[in-house]
Amino acid sequence: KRTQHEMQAHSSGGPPPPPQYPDADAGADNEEKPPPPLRKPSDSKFHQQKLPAWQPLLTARSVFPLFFLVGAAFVPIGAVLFTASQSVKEAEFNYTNCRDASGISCLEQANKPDYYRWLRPPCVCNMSIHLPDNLTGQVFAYYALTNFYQNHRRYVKSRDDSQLLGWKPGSEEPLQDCSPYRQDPGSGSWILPCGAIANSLFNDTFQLFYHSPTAGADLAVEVPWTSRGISWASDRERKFGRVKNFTGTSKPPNWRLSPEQRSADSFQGDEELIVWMRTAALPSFRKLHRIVLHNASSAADWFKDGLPSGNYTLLVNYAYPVNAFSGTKSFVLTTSSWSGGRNPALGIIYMVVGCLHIVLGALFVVIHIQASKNLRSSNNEDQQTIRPVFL
Amino acid sequence: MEKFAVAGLRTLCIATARIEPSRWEQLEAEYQRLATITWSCWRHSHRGQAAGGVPATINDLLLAGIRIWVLTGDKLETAINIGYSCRLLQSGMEVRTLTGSGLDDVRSKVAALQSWVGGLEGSSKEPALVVEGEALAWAGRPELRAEFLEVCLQCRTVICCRVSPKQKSDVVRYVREALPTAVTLAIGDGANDVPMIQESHVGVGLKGKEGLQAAAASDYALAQFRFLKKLLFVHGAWSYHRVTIVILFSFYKNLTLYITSFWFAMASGFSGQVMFEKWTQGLYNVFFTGATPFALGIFDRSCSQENCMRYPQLYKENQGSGRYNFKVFALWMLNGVYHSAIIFGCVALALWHGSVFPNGQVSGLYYLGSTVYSLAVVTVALKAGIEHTAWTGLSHLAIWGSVATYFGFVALSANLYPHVGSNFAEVVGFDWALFGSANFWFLVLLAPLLALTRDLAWTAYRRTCAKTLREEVMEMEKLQRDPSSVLLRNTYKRMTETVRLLGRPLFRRKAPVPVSQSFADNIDQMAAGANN
Repeated sequence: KRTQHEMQAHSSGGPPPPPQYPDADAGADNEEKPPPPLRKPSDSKFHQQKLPAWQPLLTARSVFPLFFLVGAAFVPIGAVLFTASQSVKEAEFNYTNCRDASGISCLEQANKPDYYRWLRPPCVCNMSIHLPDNLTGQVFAYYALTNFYQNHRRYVKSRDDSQLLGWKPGSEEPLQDCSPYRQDPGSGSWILPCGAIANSLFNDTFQLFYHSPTAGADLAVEVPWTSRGISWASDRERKFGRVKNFTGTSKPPNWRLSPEQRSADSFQGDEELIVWMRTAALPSFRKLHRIVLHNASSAADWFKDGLPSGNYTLLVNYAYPVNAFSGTKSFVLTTSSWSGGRNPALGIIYMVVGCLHIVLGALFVVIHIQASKNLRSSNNEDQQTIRPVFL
Repeated sequence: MEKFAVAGLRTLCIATARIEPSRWEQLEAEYQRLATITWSCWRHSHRGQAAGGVPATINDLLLAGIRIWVLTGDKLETAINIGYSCRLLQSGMEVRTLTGSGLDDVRSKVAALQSWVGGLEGSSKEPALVVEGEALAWAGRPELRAEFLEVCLQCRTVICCRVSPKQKSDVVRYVREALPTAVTLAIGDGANDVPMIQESHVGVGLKGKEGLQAAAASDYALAQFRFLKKLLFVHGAWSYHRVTIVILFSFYKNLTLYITSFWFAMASGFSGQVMFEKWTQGLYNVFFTGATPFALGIFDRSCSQENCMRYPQLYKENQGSGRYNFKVFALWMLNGVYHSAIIFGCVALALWHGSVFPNGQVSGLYYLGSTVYSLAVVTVALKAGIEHTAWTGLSHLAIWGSVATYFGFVALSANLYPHVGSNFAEVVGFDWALFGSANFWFLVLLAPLLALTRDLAWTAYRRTCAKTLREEVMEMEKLQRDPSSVLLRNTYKRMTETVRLLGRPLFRRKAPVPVSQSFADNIDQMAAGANN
């Protein structure tokens, strides 16, 4: 209207005519004009928040069958797991304080400075051990350390994975994380493999001898075992490689043997190192050391079905010092099952949770019955009385 | 003129005069503007305030426990008439006006009103106040404000007439200062409502013939007054529920995962060692638990649209911070800590010696971390499921999709080293190690269920024995029973609860009923309507 008026003013020059107003009953007028284009949003279920939905009520009535179901499922599962765990036979022998033939305590020997660095004759201790039960099936030998804390942050980061893959030649410097086990102070050459984890490699060695009751007292059959297969296949294939050339590098200070001496295929073939490099989760742990060869010809048929119960001698080349952190060392012989080693925890937890659910289910049945009684009585009430002073 | 005003019409005066041409040129420019404004006023009065379902909407807002004041620029008589036509003022109420000017005059009148309101306490008549703009200017002064507001807050409703735009915003400010815990909403359709709209917590502008200024200045723009009902009861209620649940759930899911690191720290000498692979950890909130808050926040519905609109009483549970306060927050956080303890405890016990494989091999640090992480992802996803009130197809996608994405990522990340530099070195071979381990799957079955047992049991108990009104209505709807009896029974209870939660005796009465006979009439009408 304003523009019209201005144009008229320019053209005519006289006083402008009054603007034209639509009629008083303007409602009808508006409907005659074509409606403006609608800008309504889409009427789909998605846009109008009308998506079909399942609305579970989750009252006692719908929940107690679930609890019973879970309870009925968990108790047998727990029983199965517990049985599987109990079927694993295990024997653990703490040899921290064992003494050598002359009565010297190996623990004190190992504690002496530079003991494990020089080729001093090691402390060899003979432990007489007794297996109370037959260990039938495949037997595994572990060493167990306590209070070690392989999960400490500064320890865990002290490694160089590229070195372990064999990608770093002797001339290339290792990561700073490896210090202080990075460079040999004497020669200045890089340490391969660097880091605290590699340096603290477990280096006790064992031999196990069986004294059969039927054979003579002097006859001791050595248990044949191997270190092949103790490490993860994926580790062997993808995390550890073969180092072509060790020249110009040093071995870690705590190692008695150099990597080439430990295994021809270092590091891929040094499975003890691979197992050690997989840092344990908890402060006290076990690591797989050897797998018994039950069909080895050297032991005839003695260990065909497992390790028979009886007297054994454990010969330990005691090298690893544990006194500094008040730790202990143990040697473990155990079988295995489909659920792993002997650990009743999971089975027990399952059974407890199953029972708990059954109790809860019963409780909710009671609650449901009580609630429906209340509902029925209050419904009756509503129908009978008219609320006197609602106001 | 006064008769027209009392009848609710806006009056227009037309007069003629002889004007000199020179004077006319001055007035010419203003002529158009004035004509436009006056014209729109006249059209508005023809439309009438009763059109568009305003009384019904106001009735529903009152049922929802929302207090309504009217601030208008109209004359006193017009304002009173509007009040009656909107059913804010009813026959059972005693209406008094506050007019006058000068501090002492208004002070004495406010004192008289105070005793009047005090005298009406306990009786069945309710006070309603109509304040004129000039008196409001005096009553709003700091010396009189406290007493004035005391009177106002004890009245059933307050109508302010002849108020300027600034006074409208002042009134909103006074209410906000007097009731810090209350939430105010202002709705208006003209440019003179803009200050009020901006002052209140929520400003709603109506797009009207008077222009778009109110809509432009507002938080929400509506086309008609009656749409306010849907804005509050459906969108407001839903948004409150959704925002609450998203906030609580986001904090909870992070606690559940990262407090496990604290339990691990207790076992790793507090050295700060992380048991998770760093990329997996970083993608927790992005990929593995990112979809569920979206599903909860965008699609979850606390109550169906129809029920929200049909039963205004359901709105009351959104008032008074009942669903999001310190206690609720603390309980959710405690729940997260409890879940993390269960998850870490189960895994630590199951991996005690580390020999969990049939081939005798041992696991390690990152295996423990991956197991804990997997359990946390599953637990958090299932917890989101329990917190859903309405499982749409997208909820299923979000929940199961999150878990599937995580397991897919495990399978992928186990094979990336060493092709991506030194990343993912910790999880090499974890696809076989985790998925191929019976131990792992039994833990996945056990720990989330054990953790959520308490949640499920508590929810079921509460929904059976201590239902909120909304849950009762939902249940009745599902069982195809009439919910109106439930609402009758509960209305009285909820009303006093809201009053208590607002922390101030809004209606200082002995009898616990703040509303009059007409309100009960409305309930009966509504019940009758629902039964039909």
